Amino acid sequence: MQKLNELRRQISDRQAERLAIQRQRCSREQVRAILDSWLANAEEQGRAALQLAVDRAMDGQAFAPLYAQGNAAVFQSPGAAPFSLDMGPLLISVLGKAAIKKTLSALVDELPDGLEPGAKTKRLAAIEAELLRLETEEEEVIVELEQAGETVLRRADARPEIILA
Amino acid sequence: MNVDKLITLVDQHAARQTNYRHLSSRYRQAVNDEARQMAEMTAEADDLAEQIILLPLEKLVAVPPEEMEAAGVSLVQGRRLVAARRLVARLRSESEALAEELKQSQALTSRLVEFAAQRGELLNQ
Repeated sequence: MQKLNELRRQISDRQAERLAIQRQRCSREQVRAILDSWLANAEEQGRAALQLAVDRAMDGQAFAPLYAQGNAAVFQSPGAAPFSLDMGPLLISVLGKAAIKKTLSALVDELPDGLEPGAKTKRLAAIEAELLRLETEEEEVIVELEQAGETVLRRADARPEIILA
Repeated sequence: MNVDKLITLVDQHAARQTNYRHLSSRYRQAVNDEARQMAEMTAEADDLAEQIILLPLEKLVAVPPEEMEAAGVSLVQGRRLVAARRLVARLRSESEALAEELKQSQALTSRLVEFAAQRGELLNQ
């Protein structure tokens, strides 16, 4: 029975690890890459907005380099106007990319490592193989115990293909 | 696919269901017996005796015999009530444990039967 309990503990650990990996959408490095890509785009947009402002000034139009524009979508509930405005390009053009990156990178550094897509697939395959071995061994132990006259309740999530192999 | 093993496991589950039905029936009977005993004891008892009779098991066991007798509850009646309460508690605990086992067994058996059905093994044929 001790051997069975140990096998079940290992099965439960592997299942928990598999679930954690499956739930993890991105690794820390992937989030860092998303941040870098966003910073690059926003920097470009910010520079273009400032360029447009000075070009317009050159044409004699009003000079408004830090003028923020957005869209207020008023529907369903007049009076309440949800309003969203991406301040990224403007802030980056004024404060510089490094300052924004420093703040956001500190938060990214605190994320758990996570696994890269390739490593994730590899680890999941390894867990599946290990689970198959552990669950097969579990069933063998249960059958041995039953033959010795003990009554053993199988796990509710035990795999039929292993039990009925 | 090991059909013999499947049949054995389905039979084991059916045996569990039968055990649970028997245990539930014994538990209901024990609860009724306890209630009947209490009703008989409280029918002609005074307030003090009623208070003792209605005590939960752990407190009832701790009531000194002289206090019980002074309240008009004989030692034999007190012991019978304690025994009835213990039986109810034991059967309740066993029923709950078996219900949990049965739930687990039901989940597995359903999956096994479904797995077999997908492979053309229909147990009810």
